[in-house]
This record gives sequence, structure tokens and C-alpha cells, in this order.
Amino acid sequence: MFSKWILGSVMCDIWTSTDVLLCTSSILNFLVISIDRYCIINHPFKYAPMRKRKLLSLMIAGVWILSALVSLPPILGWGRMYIEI
Amino acid sequence: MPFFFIGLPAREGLYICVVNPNLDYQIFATMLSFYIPLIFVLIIYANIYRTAQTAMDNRSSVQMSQFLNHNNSSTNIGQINGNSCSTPQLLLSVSNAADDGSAMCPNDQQQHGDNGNVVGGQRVSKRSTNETTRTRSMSFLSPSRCLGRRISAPFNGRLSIFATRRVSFFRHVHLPNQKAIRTLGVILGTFIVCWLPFMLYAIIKPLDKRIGELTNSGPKLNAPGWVDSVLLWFGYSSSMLNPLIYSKFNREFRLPFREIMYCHCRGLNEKIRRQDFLENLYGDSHLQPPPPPPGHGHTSGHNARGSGGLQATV
Repeated sequence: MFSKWILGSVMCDIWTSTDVLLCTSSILNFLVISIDRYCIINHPFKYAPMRKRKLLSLMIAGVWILSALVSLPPILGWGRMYIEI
Repeated sequence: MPFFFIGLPAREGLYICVVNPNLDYQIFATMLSFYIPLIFVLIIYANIYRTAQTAMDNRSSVQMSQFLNHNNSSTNIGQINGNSCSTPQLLLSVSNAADDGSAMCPNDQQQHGDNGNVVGGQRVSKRSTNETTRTRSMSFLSPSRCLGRRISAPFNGRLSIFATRRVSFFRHVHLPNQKAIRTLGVILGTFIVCWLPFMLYAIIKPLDKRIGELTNSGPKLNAPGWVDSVLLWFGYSSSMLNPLIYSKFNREFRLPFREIMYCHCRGLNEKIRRQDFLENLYGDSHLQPPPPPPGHGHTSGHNARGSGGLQATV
């Protein structure tokens, strides 16, 4: 929206990595939902006893861990987000 | 201060804050967060669609068979009704057995009992089991009935994948796969339309820059700055649309969304269970009276609860 960033590098890191984190987790959650639907439809009897709080929590945790893996590298030094113009 | 908050030192001057424009990182990030999930999602929904189509093909032939039997013999009506799991008593027993996944259409016993994997039919009421015995000879009935029950029983009939109303499905839809196409189209279409432009742009922009650096000709892409914002907000809008789409097409999501929106999270599981139970018993509308007992009406799909599984599929 603005041509410059006035909030400093720390806020920039937080902002952009949160952005990437949330977008990625949104997409991966979409994927996990579709996997869940698929298992219900195509393997209901194998999947039904497994479809408990523990498995679903694991799937969601996996989504967030993967999202963190995607959003962390820039902060850890893979390129930079805060650029002087 | 945690290590991941360490950024560049704040200095005087003008700065921009952008997501890492490095090409390698962009490829890594978009692959992991979009392109690979997209491929998986496409494969998964293609499979779901194929399953739905098979189920509907079977179901269409079964409905025709029912129709023919209805006209030919009155005794067959009772048999079909028993087989269709349409009575409240049977539904109740199916609901009770649903948690351990053992509930199923009686014909499943015939189909799956052999491998010892499932112990279906044990908890189904005695009367329906007797009727099952009578209907076993009607082998043409089993594929769709049991497919439907197999799908819906373990989840108390609420795995309505993208389903809206089970009962009205075949009354209004003329092409059997019309609704499946529409539902899958909306879900996948929204996802792709929202995210694909942004993700393509996220690759193309640094790629153009890299090529420009390598050829010393400078970047050729001169897109205005607002393109980034517009494409990014398209992506964000997907997060706004998803709850709307899922609650429109999927009953399993509707109640939780509504309750979470109103911050009524306490006792949510109880409410979901109660709604499932009522829906299993009385259909979508809780105000509707229970379906008439077998023998008092004909057996077309209008109140055949056992057929709910198929509609739950698509």
C-alpha cells in the first residue's frame, strides 16, 4: 500500500513472515481438509476408527510446522525482506 | 529477544518491506505452499469425483430397479424398504453403532463379512436383519445401498462431503453428476482463481529479474506496484470465501462455523452430536415428522434414509 516501510526491520520481519505463515497454512489446511474428505469417502472403514482428536490434531500440527518451515528461512538469513531503496 | 526477531538494524533512510524477492526462496516457498498442495488437491478431488460418479451411476440403476419392483410386486416393497435402512428404529441403531464404525447397510454384512474386517449388522435391529436375509437374493440392490451406507454410517450421516440436502438431490438434479461438478468446481475454482495468479507472479517477477541480471539487460517486466497488492488480496480473499463456501456446501462445517462466529465454543461438540442425531432421525429439517414406517408408503428415494450416504458423497 505504501511505498516505504516506517516501522523498522523487526516489525517488517514479523509482518512478512506472519503473512507467509498464515497464507501457507491456509492453503495447507485446504489440502488437509481435502485429504480428510477423500479418506472419508474412499476408505471410510479404515479411516473412521482413526479419525479421532489425536490424528486430526497431528494433521493440523503438521500444517503449521510446514508453514513455519516455509516462513522462517528469510528470518534466518535466506535473503532479506527489509530493503533500503 | 528471540533469535527470529533479529532483523536488519534500523537506519535512517527509506526502506521497503517485501516478502523475500530471492528467486530460490520464492521457488521453495511457492512449491511447498502452493504448487505441491495444488497437485495433491487436484488428484484427491478427481478421485472423489470419480467415486461420486460411480456411486450415482449405481444409484440410478437401483432406483430404476426399485421402481420396477414397486410396480411388479407388493411384497418386494417391504423388502426394499427394510434394505434401505429407512426406518427410524434402524437409523437409531445405526447411529448408536456409528462410533465404532460397525454400522452399515445390512448388505455390507454379506459383502464384507467374509474377510472378518467388519462386524456389521450385529447391532442392527433384528427385524431388519431378517429382512436382509430375505433381500439377499436381490443382489442388484447391494452396490449403491451399501456404498451409501458405507459412506455415511461411520460418521452418523454427517460426512456430507459437499452436500447440502440429501433428500432433494434427485428431485431437482437431472444430470446425475451435475451437482458434483458444481460443488467441486466452486471449491477448486475459488482456490485456483484466488491463489494461482499471485503464485505465478511470485515466481515470474524474480525470474524476470534473475534473467535480466544474467543477460545484463535488466528486468523486462514493468508491472506497476499495485499489481502485487491486488494479487495478494485475491489470495487473502480466498480465506474469506472458504468459510462461506464450506458452510454452503457442507453441513458438517455449518454449525461449527456459526457457533464459533458467535463465540459459543463451549459445548460445541455436544451441539454437533445433537444435530447429527436429529438429522439422522428426522432429516435436515428438525421440524419434519419422522418418515412413515415401512409398508405405509412407497420406497422412492424421498425418505429413504439409507440412501443419504450417496447424497452425502456429493
